[in-house]
Amino acid sequence: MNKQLRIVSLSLVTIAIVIAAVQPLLPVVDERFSELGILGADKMIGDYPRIVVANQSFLLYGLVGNHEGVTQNYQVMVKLGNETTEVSNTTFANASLLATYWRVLAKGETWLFPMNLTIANVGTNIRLIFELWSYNPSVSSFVYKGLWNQVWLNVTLG
Amino acid sequence: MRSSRFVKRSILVSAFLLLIIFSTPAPSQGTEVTVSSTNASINNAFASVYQAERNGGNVSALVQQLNAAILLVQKAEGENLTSPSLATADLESASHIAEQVSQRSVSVSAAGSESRLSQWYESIVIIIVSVLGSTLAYTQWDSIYRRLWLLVYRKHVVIPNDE
Repeated sequence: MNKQLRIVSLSLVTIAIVIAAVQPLLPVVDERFSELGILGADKMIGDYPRIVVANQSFLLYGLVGNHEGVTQNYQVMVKLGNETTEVSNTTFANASLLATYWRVLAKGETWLFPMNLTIANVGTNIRLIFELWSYNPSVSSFVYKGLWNQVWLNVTLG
Repeated sequence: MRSSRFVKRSILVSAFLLLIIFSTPAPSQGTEVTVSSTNASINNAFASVYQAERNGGNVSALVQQLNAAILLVQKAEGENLTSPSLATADLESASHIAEQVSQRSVSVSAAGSESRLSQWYESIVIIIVSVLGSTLAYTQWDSIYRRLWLLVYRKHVVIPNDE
């Protein structure tokens, strides 16, 4: 066999074997994120109630997905706000807490859960604010993930 | 004279009242502390599970146990007003589960580290063998090729064409 050809083919085979051997040890670099979704009573996006009766429960569904590449300890906080309540991807709402839903999700797992909510006070343009929080072991507390959602409601006496 | 006696008496009475206030627990405080301490136990257990997974351990069974503990806490919160004894029992079960998870995550973490280490050794051995094999193949190629040829054709009989 030609000497140069021999060197090239041997080098290629060696490099291929080394790459294959190292592959399982390299950390996977991909986009890591969490997801938060709010669904209506029929588990559909956009099927939200507009008017609810005070002190009567209504059903919504929450959806949380863990694509962080590691197990996450999530809490979905449901808060009762109004038109002036400020909430963003960096700031959580400073509003009264209506309910908390809590679950540990393995990597790649999705969690669909029912939320039976009741609002006591009558009002217009009330905002149900849903925030996703996750437990950060390095600070030993839940931290706001910057993910939020909202449903606008009018609460009547019935 | 009279005013100083009054001040002394007032201080003594205030101190006595403060002592009574701080030594008497609030009626709902006991259960509330238990809920928060159970939550803290679950979160601590989660931190152990998180670390075990980072070390390469398989934590799927531990995650299921943690969720069972969370469900018990939520159940206890619902029962707190109607049946405090049931709530306490559920919280104790949840704490026990969280404790078990914390303990098991140590062995899961150790198994993960061991598995990762053996994977490292395996990869290093493969790399060394492939590099040595290539070097050997390069330096000894002619000899290896002749030996291989002989191995394949050693029973081959050459028959002259004119027979």
